[in-house]
Amino acid sequence: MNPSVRFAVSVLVGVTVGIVSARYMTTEQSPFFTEQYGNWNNWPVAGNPANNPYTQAKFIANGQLPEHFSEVLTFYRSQDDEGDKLTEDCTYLMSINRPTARRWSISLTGNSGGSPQLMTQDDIISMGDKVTVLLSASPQPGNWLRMSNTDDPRVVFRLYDGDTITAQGPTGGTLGLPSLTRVSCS
Amino acid sequence: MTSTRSFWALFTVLTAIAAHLCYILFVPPQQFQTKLDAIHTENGINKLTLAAPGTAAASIAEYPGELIYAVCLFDLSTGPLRINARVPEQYWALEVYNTRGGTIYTLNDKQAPRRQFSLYLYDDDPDPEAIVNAANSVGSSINSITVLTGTQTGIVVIRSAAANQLETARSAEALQNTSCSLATS
Repeated sequence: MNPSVRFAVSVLVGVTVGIVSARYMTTEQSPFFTEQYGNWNNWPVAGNPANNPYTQAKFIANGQLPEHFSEVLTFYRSQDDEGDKLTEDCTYLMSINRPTARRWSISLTGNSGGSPQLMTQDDIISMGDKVTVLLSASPQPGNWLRMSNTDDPRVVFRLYDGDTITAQGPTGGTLGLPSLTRVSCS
Repeated sequence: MTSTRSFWALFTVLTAIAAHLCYILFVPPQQFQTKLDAIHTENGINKLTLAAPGTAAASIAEYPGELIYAVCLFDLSTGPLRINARVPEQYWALEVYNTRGGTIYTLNDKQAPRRQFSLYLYDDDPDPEAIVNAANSVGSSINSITVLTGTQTGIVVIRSAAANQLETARSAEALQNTSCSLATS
């Protein structure tokens, strides 16, 4: 092969691999700088001045300023407990023991834009310590988060007072994070 | 033949590493700077602005359903910045960031001395007289906090609870009574 063609191919392949790998490492699916709690992901050094460039890039590329982890712990997931990708064709049951954090929220976001569906500790209807929320495209009884027009559904769970939560330590390696089971699919 | 292949393989790998590092180190900061420039153009510098929907400042409001955001881009090249904060009796957090998104300082409702306080940002160790002068300037409150940023430019973000109408009203009122300006002005 002609050396100039080899050069062009090498540069093209190198640049493509370099950029694709960089973009992948700043996604939530990246295993390198995220902490995994079951199917929940967390960027543990978000907002820290000494954070690594990958964590920094993950947030600022989207124009976001991450809250310091001592303020809020934010967890993301886009899979159910079986590891299957969330889809608006299915109904899911999210279940959790009422968090001890002073504030918390569950929201549902997607790539197609629009306001996220949100529930805070004030919105939850619950008779006891157990909190359940149904995620579905169609109306559901009790606590319901609507899944609609979401190309890539993603659940975000936020615990305020990150310092206190962190100090309490992981509970069974999960920090007491919600489970998310598929109930049915259309 | 083998050494030629090895050379091109190594060249490709090194190109990939260089592209990877260049992307991580330069592209996101540049994208973020574009956002900051838009906020600057719309709101100016050393001025607190509520991140209302549709504004450039709203682009940093990641969770608008549960929090109200106010932002102040700062430039300390002509002197220290003073934030006269009047904060609501509910959850709020004030964070100072550098222009690369790193947190410099954070304060929340449980840590703040009172509901009304002044926060001074200096880019470097100020002389004691400058602190006294700033604290004695018009608009200061007795509860003063001094922060050394280590950088001349950055952004202050105040997030205040807005999960229901009452919280939203309290936060909006408090933030409207909060200011961000040069301490010398």
